[in-house]
Amino acid sequence: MLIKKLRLKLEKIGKIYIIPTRYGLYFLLFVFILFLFSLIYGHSMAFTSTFLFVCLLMSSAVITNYNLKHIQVRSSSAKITTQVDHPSEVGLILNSLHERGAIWIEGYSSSNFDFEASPAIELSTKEKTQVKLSLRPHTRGIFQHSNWYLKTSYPIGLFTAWRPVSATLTIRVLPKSVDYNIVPLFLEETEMAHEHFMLVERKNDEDFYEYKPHAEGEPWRLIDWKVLAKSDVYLKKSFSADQRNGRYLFDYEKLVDLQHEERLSQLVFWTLQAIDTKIDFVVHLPGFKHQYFNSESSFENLWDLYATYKVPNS
Amino acid sequence: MILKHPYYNKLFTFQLFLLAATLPFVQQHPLPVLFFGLVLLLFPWFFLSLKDVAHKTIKISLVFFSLALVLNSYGTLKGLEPGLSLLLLVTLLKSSELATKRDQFIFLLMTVLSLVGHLLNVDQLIYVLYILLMALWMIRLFFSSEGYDERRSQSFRWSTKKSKDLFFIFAIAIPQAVLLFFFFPRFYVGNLSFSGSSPISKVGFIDELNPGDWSKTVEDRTPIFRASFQDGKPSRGGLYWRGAVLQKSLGFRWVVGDVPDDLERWGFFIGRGDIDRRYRVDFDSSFEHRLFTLPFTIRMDLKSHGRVLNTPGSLYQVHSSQSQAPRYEAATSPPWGAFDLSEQEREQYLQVPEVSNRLQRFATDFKSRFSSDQELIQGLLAYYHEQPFVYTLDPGSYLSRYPEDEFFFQRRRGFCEHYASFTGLLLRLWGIPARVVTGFQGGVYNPVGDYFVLRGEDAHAWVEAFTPEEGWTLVDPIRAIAPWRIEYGAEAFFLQLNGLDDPLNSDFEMNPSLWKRTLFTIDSYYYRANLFFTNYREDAQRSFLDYLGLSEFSPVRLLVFVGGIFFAFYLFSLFIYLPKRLPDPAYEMDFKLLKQSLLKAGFEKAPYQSAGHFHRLTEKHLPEHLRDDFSRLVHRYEILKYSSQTTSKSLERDFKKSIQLFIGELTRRG
Repeated sequence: MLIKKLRLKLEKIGKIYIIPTRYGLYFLLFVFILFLFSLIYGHSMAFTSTFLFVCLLMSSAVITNYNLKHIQVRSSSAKITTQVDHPSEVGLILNSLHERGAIWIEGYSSSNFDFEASPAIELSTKEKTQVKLSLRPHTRGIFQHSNWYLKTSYPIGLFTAWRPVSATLTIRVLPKSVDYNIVPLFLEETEMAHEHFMLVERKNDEDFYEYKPHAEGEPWRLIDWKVLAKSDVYLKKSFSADQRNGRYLFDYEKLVDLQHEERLSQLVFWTLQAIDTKIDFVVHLPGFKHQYFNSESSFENLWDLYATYKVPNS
Repeated sequence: MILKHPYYNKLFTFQLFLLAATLPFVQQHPLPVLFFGLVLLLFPWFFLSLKDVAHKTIKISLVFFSLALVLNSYGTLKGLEPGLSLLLLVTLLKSSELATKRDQFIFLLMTVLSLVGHLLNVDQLIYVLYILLMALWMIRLFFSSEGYDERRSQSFRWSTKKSKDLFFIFAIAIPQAVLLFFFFPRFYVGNLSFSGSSPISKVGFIDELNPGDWSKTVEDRTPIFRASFQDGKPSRGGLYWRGAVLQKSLGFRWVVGDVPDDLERWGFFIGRGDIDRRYRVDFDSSFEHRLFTLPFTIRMDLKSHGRVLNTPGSLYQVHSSQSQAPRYEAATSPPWGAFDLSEQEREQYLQVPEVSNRLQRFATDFKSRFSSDQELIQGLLAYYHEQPFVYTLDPGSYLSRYPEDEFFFQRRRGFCEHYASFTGLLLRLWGIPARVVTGFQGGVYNPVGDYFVLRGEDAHAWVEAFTPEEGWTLVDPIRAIAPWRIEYGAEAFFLQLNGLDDPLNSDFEMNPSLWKRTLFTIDSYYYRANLFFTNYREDAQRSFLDYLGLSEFSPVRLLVFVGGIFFAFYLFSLFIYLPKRLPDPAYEMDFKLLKQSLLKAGFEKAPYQSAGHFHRLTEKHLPEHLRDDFSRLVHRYEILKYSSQTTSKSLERDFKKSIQLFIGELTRRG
């Protein structure tokens, strides 16, 4: 009964592994030399010193081991968004029943991620402490990472102990945001902008607002040819939508010179720039309908799309 | 300016540690080693400032120089002392490269190793405390050394938590060490080839007597050895501990000279004859190789490691590969009675250097007044007593051509060395074979522990004169000049001499003051504990186990036993630190209530569903007026659970209240 209980509890904390550090090995060598001393000289003082240092070694191992017990690790349920090859921080929350020495947390690196260890922190009793560790993703996608390990060499640094813990973190990795300098994103509605980022055509005149005189330099296609035919006046239709900035179309298929991943990178770059400057835009990816985004909307769906997009087989 | 650099701050801290660890044992090293060590200690930055290649070249050559220096000073590289000197120099050299954490750590370990090595020469219980302090300091230094923590953050510094843990380590390590001390099986490996005895003598006596050169020694109150007697306390006046015999007179100075070999005659008595008195001697530290013995010691049983050598002059020496404080039991016989010296011996013991006519005349005149040698000796002692000879520790130097004349005819001031030296010379002028003996006399009797403590101040010199009727007899001129020095011991006598106390009037030893008695008691217990500590070897361990009723245990079983105890200890500590489950926070309990009431209403939250997910699935099926409340509750719950801030009590109370309200509303509507 007791053993079963103990085993259950041990399973709950997980296994704690412990090995000597480089300094621990030096210390072991030192203790071994002392032991030789004691045997050669058969001397109480030498034996006592040896025993003392051996026991210091063992006690420090116990404390290092104990340092990792009774700690809960929690992850936030929110998705973390990052980009390929872009080092970013993720946060985990540590909750401890007792005070702790220096502990840091690391992730098990995989083909998708490289993790860097968090800085060492001291935990206080029954307080949540947020630890940040940085990761560098290799591929885009939506991943769930739940394998971490707590690590410590506290207090003397003679031993390193680690303990696998699990806390699921959802990480969405976008393509790397790269500007291939094909066209700069025009922040004002100019002819160049019209050439490259086609404004979305309107289906009907429901939002017709008024006629405005056509100014020189404005695109010819704005001219209302019917009015011109009737009255020989160059007028252009203005719509209620035009009171805002125009909508930009980010079209996957237009980026013909680039590879698949490069195209996505360029799209992400434009998208981020558009969000920063509060421009409404439309993204066109083959296999998906045109999707309209304005600066107030949530971009969750778009990020999911970028992270997981595959060109459909034609 | 250079001293303000953080690196040098660290360097000084580490050097301070090295100094603290080796300074008490500095006298164990010869002067050239110490001088070179001082240079290395004071100018490490000189080596640091050199460029890479020069740095390495110079350092390697310094290692070789240290090696040569040690070889030159000791004549050998074998043995503990040369090894320690070399270790000390190399450690000091190491102090010129403390840049990395690894270097610092190795430096600390080397220092502690040399400390332990030095402690092998003292073998005192009190030094256990010293090594404990040093270990504490070492770990403290390592804690704070740069780059201790591989993942250190700015916030991670020396804290009370760290000090607590440091003391905790020691608190659990010390009882374990004590346990190991008692139960770890001891076995004697024997002398390994790389240990050899040290040819350097360190303290006290040299094979020469130059009157006046002990004036510092006799002020030293360090205990040298303790002697206890089996058959009750002997009178202090008769306790002459012989250490060295000086046969060759150079006037006022005496040296060992060519030693006449009397081993054959002495060997006849060794191990035979009646036993007069049994005694035990325990040294506080290793004191050259001499074993101080009472006259006519014929049995010698060495309790510490080593081999006893009988040397001319009926003296004993120990030959050991270990500089261990000697401990031995010995027994004396009654005086050997009449015998004759050989021609060669007689010639040696009558050797006289050139003396002044005045002394020659005095000797002849004085001798003519007495008929026998015995009377002559008694007459001389009476002469010392009657004439204004002064016993003083500050007699000044005798530098004239015939210092013995200046001493005897003019100033008449001196202490044991002066009187012994002159008496020996005078006896030889009279044709009586004589030799000067150095050693200890008297000591302080500890009535609590029933033993004598012999200190530096008890150092003494006297004369042994040979008469065919009685053999070698002891002639101590101090008995005639300052009888109190012999009867009451050096401590009491010097106190009285300096006018600090007048202990001679009271019964000093039999009726000590409370303070004295306390000191005696402490000394007595310490002596016994130390005896137990230093003698705790195979035989002592066996008798200790017998005492505990564990006499059956062989070393292997003992090892298993110790292992078992440690296993039990760590299992016990595992139980003490048994993982306690973190208690569920209050909001979790409240949320559980909510889940239960929703379950009753037909909405089940699967374990894989997060709170948010559950909310999205459930919301649309709830009555409209509850939807807002529900989403607010879920949102709050997520904040409580996942925020990195510690949740406040008031927030939790609020949450609980709203959950109760929600449940109430839910159940009312069915």
